[in-house]
Amino acid sequence: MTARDGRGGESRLQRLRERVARNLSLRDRVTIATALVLALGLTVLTAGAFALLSHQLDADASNSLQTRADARGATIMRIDGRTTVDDRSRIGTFDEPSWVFAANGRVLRAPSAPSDVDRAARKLVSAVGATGAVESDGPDNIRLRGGPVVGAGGERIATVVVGTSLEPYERTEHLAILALLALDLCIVVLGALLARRAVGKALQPVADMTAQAAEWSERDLDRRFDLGPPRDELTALSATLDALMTRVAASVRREQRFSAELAHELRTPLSGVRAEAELALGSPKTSGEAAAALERVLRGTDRMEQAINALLTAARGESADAAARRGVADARDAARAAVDPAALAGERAGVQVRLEPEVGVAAFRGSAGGGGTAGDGRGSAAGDERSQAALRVGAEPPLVVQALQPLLDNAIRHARSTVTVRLERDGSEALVHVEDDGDGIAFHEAERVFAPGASGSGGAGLGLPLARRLARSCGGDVVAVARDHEAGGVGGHVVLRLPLVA
Amino acid sequence: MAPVQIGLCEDDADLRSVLARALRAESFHVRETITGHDAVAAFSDAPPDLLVLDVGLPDADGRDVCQALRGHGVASPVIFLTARDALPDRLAGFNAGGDDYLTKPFALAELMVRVRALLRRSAVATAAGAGRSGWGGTSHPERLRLDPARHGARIGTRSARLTPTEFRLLAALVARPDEVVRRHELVAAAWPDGAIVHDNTLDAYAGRLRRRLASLDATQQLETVRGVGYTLR
Repeated sequence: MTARDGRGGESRLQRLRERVARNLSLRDRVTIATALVLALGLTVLTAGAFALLSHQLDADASNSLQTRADARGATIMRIDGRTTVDDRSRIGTFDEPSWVFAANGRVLRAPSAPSDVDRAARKLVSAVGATGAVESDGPDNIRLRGGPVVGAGGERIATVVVGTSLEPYERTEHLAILALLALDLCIVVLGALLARRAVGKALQPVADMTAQAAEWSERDLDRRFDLGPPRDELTALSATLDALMTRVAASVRREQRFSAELAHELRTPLSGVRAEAELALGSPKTSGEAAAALERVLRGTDRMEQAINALLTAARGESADAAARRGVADARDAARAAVDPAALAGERAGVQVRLEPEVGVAAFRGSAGGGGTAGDGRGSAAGDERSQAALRVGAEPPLVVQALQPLLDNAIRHARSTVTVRLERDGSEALVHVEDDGDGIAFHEAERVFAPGASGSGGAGLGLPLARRLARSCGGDVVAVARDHEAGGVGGHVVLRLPLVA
Repeated sequence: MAPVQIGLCEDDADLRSVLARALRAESFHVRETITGHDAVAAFSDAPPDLLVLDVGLPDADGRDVCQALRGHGVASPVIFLTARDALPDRLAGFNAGGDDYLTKPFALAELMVRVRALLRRSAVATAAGAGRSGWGGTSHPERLRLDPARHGARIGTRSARLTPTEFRLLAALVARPDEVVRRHELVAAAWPDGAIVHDNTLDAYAGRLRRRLASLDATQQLETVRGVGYTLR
């Protein structure tokens, strides 16, 4: 249990770290890393310096004590078997406490020290050996040093104990550590600021490039960063990106030139065919039967013209024409515009094409909805309210019509008797359902029908791929609903999805 | 009364043939040409009453052909036939001195209506102003000839090859001798629609044109009209 908790905590920490790393800019991360490294290095340095200083001060205190003990010892002499202290020859200072004990332990001199210090000094005497001196830190932050005083004969004649307050040493130590810490803080802050500045300066070209690139639209084929020949990482990056953009621009131009040439190659002969037909139709020698044939030729050229226009619209929409994507169309109007000519074409093929009123709209619009029956009963109050707003989609109206036309043509080709067009609002998308009562699309074929050239019956197999290209150029899509998925339904079902705009 | 002459330049044989037949059926006299070079050679000295020019000719841009003809003093109305229907293409057609623009595939009836409308208008203009004659007019001894296929300029035996931009600038200036051609008109005639052309770019091109004219021993001078444009005198 605990182990799992521990792991959980660890992964939480990791997640937190990842989140912080994600939310921080490169500049912030470098700044923080610099500060951390500086802080770590300075901690080690400061600790070392403190240890050294502390050791040095300790040695200083001992030295000073020794000097004083020696000086005190020099005032003691043995005269006639008696140990006397000569206070007259004052060598050094005796302001600080010093004790002199006779060899037998009798106190010869004692300062007016606090009683606990006095006790500690007396205790120290017993610890002093024949030759060695002993130091001990007594109470009240006083260090005591006891040492034997040896007479001329080498015998111990007295014991001297001197004390010194460690307070000045500690004050020095505290001051030093404070100064060191303040210096450390300054270095860390300064280092971090410098790192931040340096990184900011180093990344300035990147920021500039970001701002520049953000301004460029997909139409600006000639924009380049132009930072000069590659000298460092960034100029190399800019040179590489410039080269990439040159290649992209060349490919876009090639594509534009290709579609322009394609249009020219197709439209010029089409003009000839059309003009021939029109000229012959105008001639009095043309018989009724030939005239009917020529009329069909003319209708054919119309359809070819539409196909060429749709191809060109798709090429422009995908390569450059951002304006086409920014247009706004009413999906309902576009559907009507596509259904009306399709209904005529359907009549010739014996197929009825009808546009069903949107769910909830039929009741609202009354008889204007026409033959819609499916939606009438289902319209709830909420549905009414939502549907009142137009189905405004983010695409140029001709683009919507041209995307819808191949779907209708396809449905008419496959239908037995009826093609139904239905509009629906689905979240942020407008759906245009095109359903026929034909054989439908099998599940495994639902994607295949969008591959160019894949045609089941009669068509060139370009319609559905073109519709999908057009829809995708404005952020929508065309999908086929497989037969198996429809609850009890039969027939083909293709949906044009278009993004709604506010 | 002499029949109305229509100059036709279209490289597609089928389309050219049917257009010629359709125009003849309307009792116009049709002069057919296939390339831009042919068109300039055929129509410069004896301009027809109206020109139908394809934009996508094999050897030259139909718009350059039109500019060259305008430079040679041909004032006849020009209808462009083009497969390109984008706005910049249409604008370029008018900036090159075209009068009308038909996108292929067009209805024959529409072409006929436009041809008649332009002829009516140009008849009125000719009656009122007796036309305008550039240096291309046969009266000029040392006339400047423009070749849209090579983007070349020629005076007598001396010739120079120009860049497309220089060619279009020169054609726009030559088409209106002794007139001040405004800077924005020059930019529209010589650069694609929407191009950002700085003043000093245009001035630099004017300097290059001066050198070209000097190398051709041209008698005309390109003069700067400060803040307005340029004029050839």
